[in-house]
Amino acid sequence: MSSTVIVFLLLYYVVVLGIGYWAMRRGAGEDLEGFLLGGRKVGPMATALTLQSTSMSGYMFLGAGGLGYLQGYWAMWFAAGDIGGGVLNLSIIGRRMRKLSQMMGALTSIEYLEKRYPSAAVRLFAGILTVFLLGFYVLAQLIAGGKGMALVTGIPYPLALAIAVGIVLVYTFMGGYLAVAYTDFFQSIIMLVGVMWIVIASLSELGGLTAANDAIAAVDPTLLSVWGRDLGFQGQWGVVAGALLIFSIGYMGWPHVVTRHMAMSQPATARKAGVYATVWNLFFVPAPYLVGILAILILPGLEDPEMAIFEVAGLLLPAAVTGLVMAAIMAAIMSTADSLLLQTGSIASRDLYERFINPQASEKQMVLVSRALVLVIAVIGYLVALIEPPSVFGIVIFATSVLGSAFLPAYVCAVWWRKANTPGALASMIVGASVAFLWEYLGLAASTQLAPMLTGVVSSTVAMIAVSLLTAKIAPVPADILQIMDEAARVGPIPPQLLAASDGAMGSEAAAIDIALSKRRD
Amino acid sequence: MTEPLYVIEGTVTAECASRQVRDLCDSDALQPAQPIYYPYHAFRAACTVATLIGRQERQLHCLVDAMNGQGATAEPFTTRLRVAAASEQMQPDISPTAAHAVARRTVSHHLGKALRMIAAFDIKLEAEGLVWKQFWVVGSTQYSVLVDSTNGAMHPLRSKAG
Amino acid sequence: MFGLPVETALLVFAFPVFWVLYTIVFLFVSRHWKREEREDGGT
Repeated sequence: MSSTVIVFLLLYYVVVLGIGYWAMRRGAGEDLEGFLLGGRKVGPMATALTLQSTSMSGYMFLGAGGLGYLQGYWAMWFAAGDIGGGVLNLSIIGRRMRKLSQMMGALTSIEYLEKRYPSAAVRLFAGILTVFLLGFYVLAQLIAGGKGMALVTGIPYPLALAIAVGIVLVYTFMGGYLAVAYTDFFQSIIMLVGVMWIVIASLSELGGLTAANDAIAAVDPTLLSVWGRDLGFQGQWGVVAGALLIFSIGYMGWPHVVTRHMAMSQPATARKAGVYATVWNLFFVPAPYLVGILAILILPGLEDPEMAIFEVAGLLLPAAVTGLVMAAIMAAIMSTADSLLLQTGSIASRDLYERFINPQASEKQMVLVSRALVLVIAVIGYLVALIEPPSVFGIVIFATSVLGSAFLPAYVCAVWWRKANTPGALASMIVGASVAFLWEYLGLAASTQLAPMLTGVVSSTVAMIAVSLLTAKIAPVPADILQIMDEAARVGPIPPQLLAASDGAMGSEAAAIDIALSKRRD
Repeated sequence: MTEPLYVIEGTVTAECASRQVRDLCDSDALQPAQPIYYPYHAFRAACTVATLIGRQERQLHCLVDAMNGQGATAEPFTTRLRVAAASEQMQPDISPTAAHAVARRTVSHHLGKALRMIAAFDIKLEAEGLVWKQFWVVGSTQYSVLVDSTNGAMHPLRSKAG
Repeated sequence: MFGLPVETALLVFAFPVFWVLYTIVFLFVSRHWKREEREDGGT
């Protein structure tokens, strides 16, 4: 890309870091501290946007465009489900999960599962699986960051990848978020405007949507069909269902996404957040797929289809705008990688190491475990991304299928089905994860024409129902959990009899005072 | 026997606490709210960490529950000396040394989460001694609820007030 | 429509319409959720 692009890209980072530095020098650190530490209540707008963007940056800018480029309008099956993913998630489990987690005093999504399905095994399995699969999401971000960096700067991919990994590590170990916290919103706006600009520029270049579609039909009419290039997926409803489901109901099985429900300022925040999610998705979700499809005409014979959006931006946008948009996209990818690594490190050190391996671990040991894990993920990620980089699309679909299959019934039944018990949840997680994993690993989708997501979710649901019913007598759902489930179903304030540690507070005081009061009576 | 305590100033009076519980439970048969003083080891933490934009300094308050050793960061608060009957006080179980370790761990965990970084923070802890928080026990023969005098937060108790 | 086969046009336009309708129905069905907002605001 041109030197103007690089100049504006660098300018963007200098300005962002400058704003962070200037704000800190002026003593804004104290405000920021309140902003960061004050148990920020998450409103509907933030809930909606973070729900979509928590792990999707790399996928949206590389995976989605690449799929559109390769398969034409077939890619829109994924967008069709994804548009409704936010509102579906919020309407089905949002309010009840927020309420239930408050009543149980759960702070993280893994802890929530353990409290709803009381068993250390639930925490252990959910923790290990989540750490393993979040590693794949990180890999997707690293590849996206490396490819983007190589394209923009023109430096060789191995070096660009090393720089991307290095930036993510510096970000995670040295408080990169602190430097960009003030520009978070600004960055989202640049990204949204940039993506819409790319769509409009592409359509304008091709003379409008009708003309573009006519031109695509002239290249290969099957690209306009809903069955993919050369009608490769014709009649494969099992694969279509998987494409529709993966980003619609799939969200409900992502521990790192549903955790956002628990941070909502009010259970009713789910209403407004649902509206914001749909409006945002209507514009943002189909756009990358569409740019990928249009790139078939704009950039025929592209060597790496996943670079379609970046290449189109470089070709059609003014160099200065390309620099700014690429900078915002890259920053979003780095930020997502950083966020995923922090969650992975935290689950590994708190939920697994401290809980199951070394309960007396010192702070230094905890930091060491977190950092070591992050380094291991980064090194493995670098090697995999260097030696045989899988497609970002493939990685995200794999991780999403396994996560969704493992946790979807557990999270949905946690609030909707009173009979869902611990053995049922464990069986559902193990069966769902195993089926989806094996389906992907053995490539059974091609021979059976059934998507891993579909078989995974169906089998984990069957396991949840069958095992919960079979073990209902030997492992009944505890009465206090049934009581708070009933309360979560009811719309209205939580009565004090059921209000557990609100935001984790007062539970320990209440227990100590209870003991003291009963001693005094005796 | 009575003795003066450093009590965290709060705005929720006995009447407020009773009204709050009555509003939620639709019950008129409440006993008068009873005060109870709960001990915490208070710490002030000065933390520094090297970040991308230079060395950052943070000041935090941390309270460690002196009954069971749970730590939490706290908003800045003021205390005043108040005389309380011995029967209204809980007796601390956790030593200042043990509380110190908990406070260090709490502050470190909190900073890592909030600043989104995995780092060993340089934390200087200054012990401020025991401070007490006033809670109200409100309830009836059917149930009782603990109300925090600083923010009105509530928690059910197993033992009955009546 | 826009040079697309009927089923593709349906895929591209009907699903978003469906989700908009779903969102409107959800808003309508959940209108009484506002009652819960008292919970945190009260203290």
